[in-house]
Amino acid sequence: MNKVLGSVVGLGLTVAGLAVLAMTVVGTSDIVAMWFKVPIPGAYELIALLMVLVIFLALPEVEFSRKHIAIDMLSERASPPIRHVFAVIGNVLSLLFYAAMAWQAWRLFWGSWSIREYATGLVAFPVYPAKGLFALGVTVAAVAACANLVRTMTSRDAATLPVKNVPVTEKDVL
Amino acid sequence: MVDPATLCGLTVAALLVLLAIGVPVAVAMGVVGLAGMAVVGGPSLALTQLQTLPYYLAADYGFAVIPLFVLMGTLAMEGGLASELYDAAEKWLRHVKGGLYYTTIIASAAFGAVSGSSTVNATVFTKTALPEMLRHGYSKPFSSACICAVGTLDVMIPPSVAMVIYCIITEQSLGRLMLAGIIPGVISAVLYLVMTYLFVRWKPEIAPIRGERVPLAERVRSLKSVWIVGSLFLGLMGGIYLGLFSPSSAGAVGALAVLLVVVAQRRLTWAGFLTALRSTARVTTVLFAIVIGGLLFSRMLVSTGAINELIAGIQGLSSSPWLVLVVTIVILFVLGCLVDSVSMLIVTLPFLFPLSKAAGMDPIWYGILVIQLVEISAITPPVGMNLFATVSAAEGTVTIGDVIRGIWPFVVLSLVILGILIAFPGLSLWLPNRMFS
Repeated sequence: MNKVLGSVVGLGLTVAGLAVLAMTVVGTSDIVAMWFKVPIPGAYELIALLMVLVIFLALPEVEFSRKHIAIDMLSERASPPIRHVFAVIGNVLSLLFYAAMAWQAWRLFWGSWSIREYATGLVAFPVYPAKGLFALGVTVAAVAACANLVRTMTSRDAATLPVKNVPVTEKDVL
Repeated sequence: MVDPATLCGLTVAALLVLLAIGVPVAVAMGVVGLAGMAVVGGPSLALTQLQTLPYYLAADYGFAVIPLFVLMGTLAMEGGLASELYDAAEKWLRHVKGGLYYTTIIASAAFGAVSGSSTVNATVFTKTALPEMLRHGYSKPFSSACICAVGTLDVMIPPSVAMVIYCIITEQSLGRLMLAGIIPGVISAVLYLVMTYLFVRWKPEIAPIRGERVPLAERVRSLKSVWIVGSLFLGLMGGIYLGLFSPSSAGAVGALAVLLVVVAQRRLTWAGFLTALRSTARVTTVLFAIVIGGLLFSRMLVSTGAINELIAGIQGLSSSPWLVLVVTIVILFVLGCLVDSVSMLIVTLPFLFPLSKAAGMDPIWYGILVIQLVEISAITPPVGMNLFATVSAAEGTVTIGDVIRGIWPFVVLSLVILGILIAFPGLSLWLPNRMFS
């Protein structure tokens, strides 16, 4: 189960990375096109869509691999059983936060889909796909938070619990 | 009904408890913010915010520059520009006592010109410079603290993610703020060099070995990477100044320029390229999660009415800019020790910035002072992002205790630099006023 989820969130991260590349290309192309006074229709809206894609497709991987910034002033010094309790609290709150956000995200998407919402601009740009991606990404993040909770609850070795105070590891930037 | 001050106090206390037990910063701020909003305006207020805020924040074009600034740094790093800058500086300074400290400061400041994130900077130079410093018998606390502290120059030297966040929250010109950061960034780097020189003179044992002088021809050859980074930086700032592109588009141009350079020079492998893209998406998401949580929290504070009461209370005391400055410094310095820089900006700027405006302070100058305080917050224990980044990248060769033992001179120097920037607003304002006049 964790292996499958790991592959899914890894794929999401790769797509998010490629979206950053697409933002670079679209953004620069639009600037060059502006010099010739022929702006690319919908470039602005496309970049906004790509931003949604970057953030909410990478979110499940960040949650699953516990890359969120955490500050454990107390938990680092606590005994293993107390650390376990702290870790469970953190996982439960993450699950509640993402689950509530996913619920609201699907409502936002449904409202947009039902009227086939379009952004007004040089071209009519559909908004509902971005809102759908938002809902999808947050839902997978909630599933990842659930998997993390199960991993924490079933972990026998307190030393391996997910209490960490390292915000950016080598893997984040290398 | 709970009065605003009590509710505000309770939510801040709850947030600090959750942070202390290791709940992720984004989740802790989001959950407390939503709970507070549910108390103030009912569950529907909280759920409406949760439905709209994350999406519309992510779809805000203004924020699109953040991943692109991060991408510039990750591509430059994968393309080996950071390590080449270090090698170049090392060749010029090898024969100088304490040369590896100066090398690190100069290379790190130069890398700041193509990187937007201080934690990326600290991580890269911990990997590049620290092993060399330790191999030559340099002081472990001073070396690790030097790398950690100079990484924060990345916040002041454009491009800078923190500047983007400041400008979006306060609706200021990113171009002006980026230009305003150049002189303070250079002055900071020079003062870091001066302080390190004085430390090496005072305690010669922190830099025991002096290397051989490198032949001039070899030193000149090493400047290739400096030329590339310099051209990228000048091209970026020049393009903004000449109106070829807007500051918010500078990220796309900068990232593509770095990509073209590293590809043309065959510096980038496919694996490295993919790693740069993936880590950019990850770093961006970690930042945005905090921005989302922080905005939920700050909107809750606003909805309680406590913020308006606080602003009115401070304005009732006096409208002096000095009072606003003292309040800003105390709040950001104390908060900077406890939470990370991004959440600190998101939570405090909605009430600090109106105070500064009412006191008649220049918003760009105020922005530079806030950015300097962000730099300080990244190196003040117990919660300094660069402290963690350095220890993490050191892979066990230094402990958090080592870095904290060595960091205090740099914290004091950063406060001195803050004092200089307060005393001489022209250092921040001369360049943007001249170029935008």
